Amino acid sequence: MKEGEKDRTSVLVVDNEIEFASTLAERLQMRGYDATAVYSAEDAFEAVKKSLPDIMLLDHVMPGTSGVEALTTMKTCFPNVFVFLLTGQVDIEKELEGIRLDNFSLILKPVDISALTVMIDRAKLEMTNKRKLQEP
Amino acid sequence: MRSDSENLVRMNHLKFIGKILSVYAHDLNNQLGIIKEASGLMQDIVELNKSKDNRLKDELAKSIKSIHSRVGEAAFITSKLSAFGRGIGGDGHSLNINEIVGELLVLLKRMGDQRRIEFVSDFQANIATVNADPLMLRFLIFCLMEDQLMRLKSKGRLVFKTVRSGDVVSLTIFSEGEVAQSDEKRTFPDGMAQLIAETYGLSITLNGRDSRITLNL
Repeated sequence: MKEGEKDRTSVLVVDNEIEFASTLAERLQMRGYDATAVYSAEDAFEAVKKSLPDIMLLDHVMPGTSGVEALTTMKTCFPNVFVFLLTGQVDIEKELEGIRLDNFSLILKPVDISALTVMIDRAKLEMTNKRKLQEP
Repeated sequence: MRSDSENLVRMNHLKFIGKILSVYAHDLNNQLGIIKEASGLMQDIVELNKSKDNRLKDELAKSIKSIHSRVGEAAFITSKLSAFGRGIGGDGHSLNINEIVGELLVLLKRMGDQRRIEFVSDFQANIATVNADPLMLRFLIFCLMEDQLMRLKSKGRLVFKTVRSGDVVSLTIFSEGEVAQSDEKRTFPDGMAQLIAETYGLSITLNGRDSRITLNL
């Protein structure tokens, strides 16, 4: 993906580990993404209502809510945001059984930045192509 | 011989340990994630901003690479520990033998390394899940593996092969290399493995010719 296109990819990082979320957002900014960080599912919901990001990186386990709950709510309200669920659990698929999820993928923590940017770019491209197909 | 109530308490103790392990692994993984991002940011600063002091830059880059590599290794082991902890506290439905053996091979790799024995996995893809007691299945595989490991001289290989045949999923453990113990006197894997298999209705067979142990599920 070209630098100019990257500039338009907005990424919202959601993790209660403030240092992790803010550093990851900073590293994504250094790579040309419009990345911001919030530190709770409630703040994520508010942020998405104000400005719809292309991509959301959502932590699996946060105080007060499970990432799966937050994911389900987010996907119901904002189905066009591509969500990556960040998890340290290798067996999380079992928790997601029975939940129908479009525009969604899992990422195992700790995150590899190179792999992450490839996945973000691919997700953005997938969303763009879907929108083009839906256009009259 | 333990009473039923003693066994129940023992099982619940072990499930408690599983919970503690998975929580510990999760917390450790979070710390590793933060360290990885912080060191990654240092790397970005070195690589994305041109520094005039190449020697300092090289030394910094080398240290960062080392931190990254070690954190990656620690995170990988931690993810397996987390799966182990969650697994032994689980209900035993739909166990994937490939995942369980893979998890044990990572967690017990040090045992092989100490004896200079390589663990090799030969897993059938998309294998069917099985129902078994999750803790006892892991314990049984560990007993069989340890039994095979102790027979081998250093620089050998221990192969873990999973196959589905009809309704039966099987795990075969066999060794490649020089054996330390004579196979002639060998009649069955260790007593604990036999006891677990009998108690939980699992079938283990030993092929005397090449000492292949097969666990049928």
